[in-house]
Amino acid sequence: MNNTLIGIFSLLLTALVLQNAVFSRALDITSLLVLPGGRKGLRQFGLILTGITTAAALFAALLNPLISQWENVQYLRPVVYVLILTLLYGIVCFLLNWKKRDWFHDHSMLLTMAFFNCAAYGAMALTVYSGFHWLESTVYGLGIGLSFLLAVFLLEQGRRCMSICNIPKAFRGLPAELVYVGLISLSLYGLVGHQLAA
Amino acid sequence: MQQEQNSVKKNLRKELDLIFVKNPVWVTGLALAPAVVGSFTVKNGVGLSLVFGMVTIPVLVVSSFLGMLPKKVPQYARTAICAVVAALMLIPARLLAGGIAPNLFDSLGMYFSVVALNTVWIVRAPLCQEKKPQWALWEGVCQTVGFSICVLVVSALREWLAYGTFGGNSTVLSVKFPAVAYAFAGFITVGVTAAVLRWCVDRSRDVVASVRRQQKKWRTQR
Amino acid sequence: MLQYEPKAPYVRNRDSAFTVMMDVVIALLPLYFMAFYFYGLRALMLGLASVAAAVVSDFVCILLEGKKPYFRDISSVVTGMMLPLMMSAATPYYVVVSASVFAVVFVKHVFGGVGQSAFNPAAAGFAFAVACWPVQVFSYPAPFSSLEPFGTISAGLSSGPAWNLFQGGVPANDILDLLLGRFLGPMGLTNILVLATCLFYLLFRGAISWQAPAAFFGIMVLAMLLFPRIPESGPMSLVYEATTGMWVFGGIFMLNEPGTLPKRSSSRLAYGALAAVFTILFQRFGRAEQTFAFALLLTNVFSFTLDRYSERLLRRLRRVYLATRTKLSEKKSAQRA
Repeated sequence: MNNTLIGIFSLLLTALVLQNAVFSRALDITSLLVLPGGRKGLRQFGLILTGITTAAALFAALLNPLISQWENVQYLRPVVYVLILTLLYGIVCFLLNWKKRDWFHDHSMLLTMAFFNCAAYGAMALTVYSGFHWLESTVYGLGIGLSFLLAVFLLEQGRRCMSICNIPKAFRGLPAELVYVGLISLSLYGLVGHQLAA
Repeated sequence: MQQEQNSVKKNLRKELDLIFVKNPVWVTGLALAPAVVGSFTVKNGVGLSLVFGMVTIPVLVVSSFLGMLPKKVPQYARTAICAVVAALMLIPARLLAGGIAPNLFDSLGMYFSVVALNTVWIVRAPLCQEKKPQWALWEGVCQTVGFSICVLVVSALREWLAYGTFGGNSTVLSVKFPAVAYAFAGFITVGVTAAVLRWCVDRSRDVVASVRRQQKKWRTQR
Repeated sequence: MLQYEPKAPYVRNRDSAFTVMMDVVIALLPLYFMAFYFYGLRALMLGLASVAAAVVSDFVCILLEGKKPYFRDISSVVTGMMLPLMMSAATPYYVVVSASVFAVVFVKHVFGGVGQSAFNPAAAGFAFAVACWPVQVFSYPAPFSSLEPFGTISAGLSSGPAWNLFQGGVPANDILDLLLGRFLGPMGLTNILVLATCLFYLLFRGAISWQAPAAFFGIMVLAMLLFPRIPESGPMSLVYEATTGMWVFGGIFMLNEPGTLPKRSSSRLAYGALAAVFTILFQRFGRAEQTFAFALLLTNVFSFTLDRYSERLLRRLRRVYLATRTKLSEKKSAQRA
């Protein structure tokens, strides 16, 4: 039991820091840099994304034994992952449209970007590639979502710092933020090295 | 007739802006994941551009046709249909890419398939529902050209600096920077090239504005 | 933001940034002298090449931005001087030049120039060099071996005691050699006695504040004494780690970089502590034998946050203190009545 807990905790830390979805793999970097709605919107998005990555990773792990037996599975696997996300998206949207219509209409774009997202796809692909069972996949998916929230926190600090800097006109906005994220990624390279599988 | 021709020209120019002035990656910041991580060789860049085009253009055209559906059909259902189309287009994209370069899928890994969920169609598909199919097609083409230019420039630069090659052919470069192939250098390369593009666009605007002022001055002098 | 009342003398220096940078340059010179003593002319030539690259790229960036060069800004000289000291004396010239250019162009000027960088330029330049050329950066010649000032090195290169520590083993070097810097290591970081002198000089001159180094060194020493990463006693482990690691140099010269250091005293203490925690984590779980630069880059992200939160915390504490004082005085006046 203790070993399982330690294993789960170390897997969570690995997904959160060592294999950070944003800084090490650039998954969902667009949402981080470009999503409108300010800090509150980003945090909301991050929480929704965490739920989606956890659920998506779990589904991918549960369906993997079935999918692996198909012919030409290498062509069909990505399609199945996107179809899983589409199905989850359809169900969640239908339920929200039925029960919480106002909230859903205000946040429909947020939900669309959260579901059809590199991080959600990456959670599924990476858990299957790593050969995790259902519990490990769930924890890894949770870690990917939390790594996005960590990236949101780190980028918030960077934006505050950059808002008072006299950044050259050509670099203001997206270019400087990309360089900032790149330097954080360089710092995490000290932990990871170049051993990350895509 | 004249008005129609002017509006067609205006729409054409508006979409052509997507190539540089409103480049989907460099300016709008969409589809960054494959551009940052996947583009470390020219072959990868070509593969990414191919799959991007094969996914985004059909999705935007289908989205334009979905705009003709009755308003009762909710937006999320239309988005789900676009996602299914994007997923299905991965199969011919994979077959074509495999025919061109057998190692491409191994080199790109999951970033080949991640292009199916690129933010360009996610953001633009609802807006294309109000456009005619030919304009949605033209927008898809321009977005693809814009994405391809960005990815090819970044991948050429990174391949040259990291491996001293261009498209697999060795070039004259005495010092190589192997780390330029890693993710952190991808962020920095895309950021710096975005800044260079912005500087070029601003300069060209200044030049065009000064030329127009000069022309106006000559006209008033006459 | 709370405003501090300035204390007399109200004008300390005419150009305080220049004076501070000059003090750092003066403090780095003894390290170059020791590097010259151990490795010959090549050590000085590497320093010159690095400084020249940093200054030229600084100059070019300033011109591209359309600004006038300000010749009393010698921050690029400091960055250029620091970088080769963290590397092997046998490092090729292109490594130090590339690291300098990367530090000045992508870390300093992208964010607005001197004092505005979000990250320490020297740390980022070193991290870039390690990412690109780890073998060249971490292969050291033996002290007193004759190194060619230019061209390829004929002397044998190998890894140093820091690599043994990274692998979890005990270095085989004599303690006296370690203390005097006579072992394979980065050309400027091996002499702990000289580094200690530099620290006292900078503190005496007021070029660096004491809070961040005190917290940093305090926690590092405690961690090494209580949780050594090698099968040795705490004090011995501390001697090995302090003499071979980059963190002593980093704690003196890089931690106190004015642009990235928090402004408040309390946040500087927290900053030093955080840097120590990250350094220890990177040492234990990192992929390189010298990981201080990577840890510092991550610590730099929190610099601004620490100032904001320490101000909020101090304001809350002040409110609690004022409320308590008011209650106490009301009680006293009620009792008198």
